[in-house]
Amino acid sequence: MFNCRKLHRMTINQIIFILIISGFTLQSSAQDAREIIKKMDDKLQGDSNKSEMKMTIVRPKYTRTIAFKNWSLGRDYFMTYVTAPSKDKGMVSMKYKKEMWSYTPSINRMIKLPPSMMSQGWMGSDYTNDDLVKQSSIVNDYTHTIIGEEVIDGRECYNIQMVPNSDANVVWGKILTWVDKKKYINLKSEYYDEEEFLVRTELGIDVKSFDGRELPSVIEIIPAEEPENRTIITIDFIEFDVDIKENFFSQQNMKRVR
Amino acid sequence: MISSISWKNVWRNKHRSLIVIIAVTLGTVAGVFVAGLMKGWSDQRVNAAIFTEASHLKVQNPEYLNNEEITLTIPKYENVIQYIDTMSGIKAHTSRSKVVAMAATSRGNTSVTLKGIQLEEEKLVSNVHEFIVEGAGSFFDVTHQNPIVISDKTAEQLRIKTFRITSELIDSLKSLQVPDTVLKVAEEYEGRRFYSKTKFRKAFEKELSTIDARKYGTLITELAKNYQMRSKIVFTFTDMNGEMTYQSYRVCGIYKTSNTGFDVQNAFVLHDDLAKVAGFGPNDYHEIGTLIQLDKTTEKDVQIALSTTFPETSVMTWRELAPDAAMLADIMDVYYFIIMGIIFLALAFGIVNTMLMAIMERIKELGMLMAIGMSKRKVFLMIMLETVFLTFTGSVIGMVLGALVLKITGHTGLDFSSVGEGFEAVGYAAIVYPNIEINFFFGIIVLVILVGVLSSIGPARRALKLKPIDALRTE
Repeated sequence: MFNCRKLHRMTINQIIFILIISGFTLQSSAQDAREIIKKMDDKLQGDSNKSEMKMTIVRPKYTRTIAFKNWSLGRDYFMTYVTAPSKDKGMVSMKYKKEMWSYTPSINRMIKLPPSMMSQGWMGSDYTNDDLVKQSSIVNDYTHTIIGEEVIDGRECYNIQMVPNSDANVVWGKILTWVDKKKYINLKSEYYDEEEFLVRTELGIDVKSFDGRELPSVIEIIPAEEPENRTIITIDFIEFDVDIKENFFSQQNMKRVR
Repeated sequence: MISSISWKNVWRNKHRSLIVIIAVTLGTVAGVFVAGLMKGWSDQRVNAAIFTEASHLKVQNPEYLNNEEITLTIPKYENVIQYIDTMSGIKAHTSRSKVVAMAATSRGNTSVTLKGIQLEEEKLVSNVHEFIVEGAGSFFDVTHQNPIVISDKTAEQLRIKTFRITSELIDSLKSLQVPDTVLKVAEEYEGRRFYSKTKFRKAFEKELSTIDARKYGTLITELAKNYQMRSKIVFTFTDMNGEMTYQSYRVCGIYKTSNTGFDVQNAFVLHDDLAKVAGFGPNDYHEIGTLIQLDKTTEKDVQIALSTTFPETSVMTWRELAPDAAMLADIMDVYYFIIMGIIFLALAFGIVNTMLMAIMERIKELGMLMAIGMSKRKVFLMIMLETVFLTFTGSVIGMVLGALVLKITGHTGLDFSSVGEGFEAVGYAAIVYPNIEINFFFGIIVLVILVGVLSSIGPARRALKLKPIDALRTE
């Protein structure tokens, strides 16, 4: 009888152990692809942040560098203030929920960007206004699968394939992205069209620590068919969880920020 | 009597008269042909303006003309449509919604106006469905969700149109017995994509010998054209509540009309698909396109009836919507008489010259005629008739030949494709089918007689000034 009970207890322990193990593995495999992308995305966004960046636009005939300051709160609010070159200094773009606003101090004009202008490159770069507004959907609009592991710049990475859901309003056919296994840093992304041709590559180079988070300090965007037209973004400084309220993102403040 | 003398006089110096007759013939042929070409052009433009672009009449919200806002739908739509249904002389009408949207694919973006159509009604009013590019889908004959028909130009901007060499293309080249050297290059290029015709041609022809390039370049470029059907296009626009929304469509057809300006602007989707995302109510439409029966009523009458019943709407005829076409239709009749006038003016100098020569030669003879009692009036008439016969013969031959040329070219069409891009950019077809009304020829006959009479005045006066006694003495 005693033996019997002991045996019984052991079995229960075993079962619990197995459950814990299997539960853990179940959880981890479910987390894998989607969670990795989510963590990667959160890491870039944070709740609120303040940053300074430089963007270099490389074209066959000219190169142009724009420096700007950014403030962002969650995914709905975003403001950027151009500090250089002096010709464009003071230009402010603001994302307010689904709207995009622009202020040009030289003509003292505040406009809400109509859909027709959303397709234009932001400040002449390979980023469109639309990219800035939509950006947030990489977690919800795609189905993620880990398709391999690779080493990039000496870091072990998951290679994750993201295929847009059928109802998602996404222009890409698929995105391949390489994410650092430990720190969830996006080191490389390849964007493909629906015929599986590469359209553009984004590279995250020179990982540095910004306010305790490791991020690539240089992001390079290379269109596959016109590699001579690149856009390089250099992050000079980011501060996370700064004290910014929603009312910071107002039209009045667009004229005031420095 | 006088007329038969004049007719004989024409043929006294055959060479000289023939030269003038040939000059007049050629002048007339050229004039008739140019006029036919212009007429064909303007007719095609007017037809396109009515049956492709504007329809006879369009009802819109007057505010929409100033500001293409999605919320500016037709006021009292229900009543307007009921009223149109009861009107007589209406051939067909269709309601469309219109949304200005930004289109994006993975490689390109552009802004277009999405026209939400009712398929069956639309086909009765507009003929865009007849302009689907061969082998490039259909006008909504599909099963997939959210189909869209875009223009060739938009496809180019969104980079849905590519130039590429596929294995099928190589097979068809083989069956056309293209030389191996060309095939080899084609095989090398298999799988590569180009987004512009010129880039493809340049890259491809670089590898070929000049002779091969000239011989097969156009053919291969034409075969290499490829539209990626079912391509996804993501549209961004403001919905009825003023919020930015997104909607994806998949390409089901490519159209190409003769007006690039129209093509660049318009993409067609089904109204019901658009309504889902844009938030249209059952009576939210932006325009009603109407075709009328011209034998029963006129555009003007329908316009007045509609705009007095519904003063809060704007009712415009195609003449107001496509003023360039309206101007063409009005000015054309005057225009080709100006052309003919210029041609005959130039010819008139030649005729005057010839007649002067004819008179100088016949001073003695004219003196004799006057001496035996021919009245001045008859002498004048004789010379004038001679001139008219000279020009008239030439222009009759010219009109017959010109009409023949128009008949032939009007059937086959004249292809200006090599320079057609410029024409199409301003709305004129690259292939022209010249035609002319019969009235034009009556006009020419009047003009010819007028020119004959006018150019005979100088020489005839010269003849009348002769004194019979002096004239008889000249050698």
